[in-house]
Amino acid sequence: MKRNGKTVGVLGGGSWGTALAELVARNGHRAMVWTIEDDVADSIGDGQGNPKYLPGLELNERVSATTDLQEVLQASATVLSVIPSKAVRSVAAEASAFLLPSHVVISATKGLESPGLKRMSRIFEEETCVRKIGALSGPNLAVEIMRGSPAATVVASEFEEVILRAHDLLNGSLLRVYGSYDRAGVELCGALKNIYAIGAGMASGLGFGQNATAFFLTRGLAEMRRLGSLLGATGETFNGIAGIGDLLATASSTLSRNFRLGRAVSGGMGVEEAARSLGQVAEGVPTTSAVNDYAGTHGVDMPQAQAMYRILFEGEAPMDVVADLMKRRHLFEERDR
Amino acid sequence: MLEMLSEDRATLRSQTLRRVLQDCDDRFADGVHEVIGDVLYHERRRMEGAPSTSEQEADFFRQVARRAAGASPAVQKRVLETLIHHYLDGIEGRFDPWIYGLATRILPAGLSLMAHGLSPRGLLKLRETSRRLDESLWVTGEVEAVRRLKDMGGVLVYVPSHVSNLDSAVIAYALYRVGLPPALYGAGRSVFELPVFGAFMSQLGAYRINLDRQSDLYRTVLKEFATTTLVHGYDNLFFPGGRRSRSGAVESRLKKGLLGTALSASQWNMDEGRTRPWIHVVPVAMTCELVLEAETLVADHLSATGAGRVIIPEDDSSRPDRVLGFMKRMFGLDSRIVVRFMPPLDPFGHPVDRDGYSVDPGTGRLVDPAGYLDRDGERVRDRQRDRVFTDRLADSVTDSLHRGMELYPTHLVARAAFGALCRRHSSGDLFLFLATEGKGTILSRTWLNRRTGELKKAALALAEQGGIHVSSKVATARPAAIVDMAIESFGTGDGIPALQSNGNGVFSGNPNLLFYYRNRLNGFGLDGEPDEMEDGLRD
Repeated sequence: MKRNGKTVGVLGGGSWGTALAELVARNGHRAMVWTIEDDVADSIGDGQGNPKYLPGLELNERVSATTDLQEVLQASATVLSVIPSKAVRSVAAEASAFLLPSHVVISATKGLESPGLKRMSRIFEEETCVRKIGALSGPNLAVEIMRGSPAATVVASEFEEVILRAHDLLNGSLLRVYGSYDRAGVELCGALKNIYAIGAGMASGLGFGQNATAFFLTRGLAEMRRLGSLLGATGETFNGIAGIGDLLATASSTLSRNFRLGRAVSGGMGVEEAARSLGQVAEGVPTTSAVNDYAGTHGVDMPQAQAMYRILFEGEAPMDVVADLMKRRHLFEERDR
Repeated sequence: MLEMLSEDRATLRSQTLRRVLQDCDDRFADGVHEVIGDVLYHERRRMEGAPSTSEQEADFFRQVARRAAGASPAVQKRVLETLIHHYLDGIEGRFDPWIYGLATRILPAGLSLMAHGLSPRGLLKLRETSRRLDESLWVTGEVEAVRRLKDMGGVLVYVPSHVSNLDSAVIAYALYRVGLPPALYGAGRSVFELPVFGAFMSQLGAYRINLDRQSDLYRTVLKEFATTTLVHGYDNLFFPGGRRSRSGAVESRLKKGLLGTALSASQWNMDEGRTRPWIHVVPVAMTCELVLEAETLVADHLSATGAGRVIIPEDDSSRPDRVLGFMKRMFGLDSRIVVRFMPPLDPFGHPVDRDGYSVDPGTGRLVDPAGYLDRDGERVRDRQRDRVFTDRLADSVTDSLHRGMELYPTHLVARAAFGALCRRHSSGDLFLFLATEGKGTILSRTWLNRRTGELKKAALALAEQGGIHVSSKVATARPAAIVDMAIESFGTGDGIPALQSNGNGVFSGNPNLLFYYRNRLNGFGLDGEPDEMEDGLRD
């Protein structure tokens, strides 16, 4: 297929990848989804949509799918990466043979690599020659958007060209695309908030009321900002759509995988079993582990993230961990170190 | 190549003029009155702050203001051209190959002679001392790679680190000594005001950068002049930090304007259809054990009110006796000035292979960077994109300048000693600490030796990863000997030394100097010490 600016490659055929492909197609462009799952590629190719991850949604005819990575990358000038965080480095390394300096890559994966808390878009910079890179993140529950509810997202890049391209491809009646230069901040917001979404799910499952949830989330946001400032993010981003906006959506909706996982774990289900029951990846689990390691190694005060680690990875009872959190001696909200 | 400059001068000027006018047209859709207004505002402010401004200069801008007021667009455009010519008059150098050749030939002998005084004994020892000066300069690194790029017709931008006004002479001589052609270089006005040396700067290939001129138009003229010379095949050299490092640290924040000329000129070359359009950038890490102007530089760094000064009254580089005394002491120390050519970069900050092709650092594959300038299959102009890529280039340059640094005993021991002084005193105020508490403290020799040993070990580990170069003085000596060497070096200055021996201890005589030399290791992560201490000492 001839390379042009109107065919968009979408790496990942999960719910969000499929939703982004559909949004691109509704804006008049062609979207070619790359997936490793033959059944997903076949059903999209046969015009059956993606019943595995977005049941009931009929996809635009301009959405196609393949399991051939080379075909997707050679057909597209812009690539949206929506693959699970643990697969990003290997896929980027494989893609590097087909990606060119002229490509634009926008990462929509909300996760971090461990160790080192490396952001997904940074992995593309390391593994490929692409430099015009962006990150997309915000309160974007795929099912809600595909049901027709309006939403907003943020595309961050140092390059205005990347922001404008994402706007051209995705902005429409269903999704309002905002731009930002704070790529680090937007990516960190998207990844870190999942930890607290799991916690909010646990609070819900334990029958805590809104006081507890609000307490947990606002202190979680403070932790996100604290870590973000160390990793090059701008503080303002955490107060915006990609920050508190995404936190509110993910930590209060039963459509959120991380929220659902937290609620299942609080009910006594093991983490692995809870993850399996979702049928899709809950990025908050590996992110919790990565952040816990980093905070411990670098001396970053993140008591709630570390509390989540104790529950998810060390098997401690949620109520015991909550009791410990309530005993913390810090007095002042704005300077709690 | 530079011999052609006098013939090229008219062309360079007319092309620079054309490009600046085009730039103004592109950026100021409402007309050039905005540009002229900005010039008049900034020039008035500059002249108010510089009572020594000539009446001729002041009169020129008064006339510009009169002509521009209420003028038609056509007249305003002519006024703009007048301003561009005025700025170009101040920037252009007058390279003279004869003077350049003479200066580079006599530099080692001349400086040697001056350093040893014009005594009969000195004359008798001329050959030997000349050799010693030559040996005192160690030109190393990727010299062959740079030479090969030149042999292949490449055009280069050299970007050296900068600590002393002597750097201009040193780098000019270093290029000559390794057989590289001279480069045009952008030098601050202060360099032209140096005694003796300054008089020849223009003929040595320097063009003037007047840091006091803050108008947008001046910066544009300067950048377009440099871009035009690159397109015409003249190598350029400028100090990317803009001026000498005040704090003593290796440059971490660069001036991006001139750095961006590599990408601008490359795109111009592409427009001209040249098959090898890319300008290459060569970071040059320069290190010496002692810095002539250290005391005045760090005082300037510490003085908020003095931050804008370029030449300060007691700057040692403006006093010939101090320069000669310094050279003499350097010979006595048997210490070498290291000029290390780092791997050449493309305008996007990628390393290039021996044939000048860009290499993606992540994959190690060759990459055609022209694609970075494409949008939907077509090459487009995009100033914002170019600024981001120039930021990336700046990151690569600062990384190179750090990696190329030579670690001397003065840096290592100052780092160890200053850290100890900070821990000894509880004050949270660096300035108070330097003025009072830091002076006169006696440190334990045993402790200082141990700490120096620890830092040396960290430095050697970093050197293994290519993060720094450890001088043989540091690499081969035991910690106690390194401390001795540093104390000896500090003791050769005219003023109070940074550190002195005091029985079984070491006495901190000049904490400002100690602070200056310890800062050279900022950004290397050798210890847990904070780099930027001006915000408050660690308690």
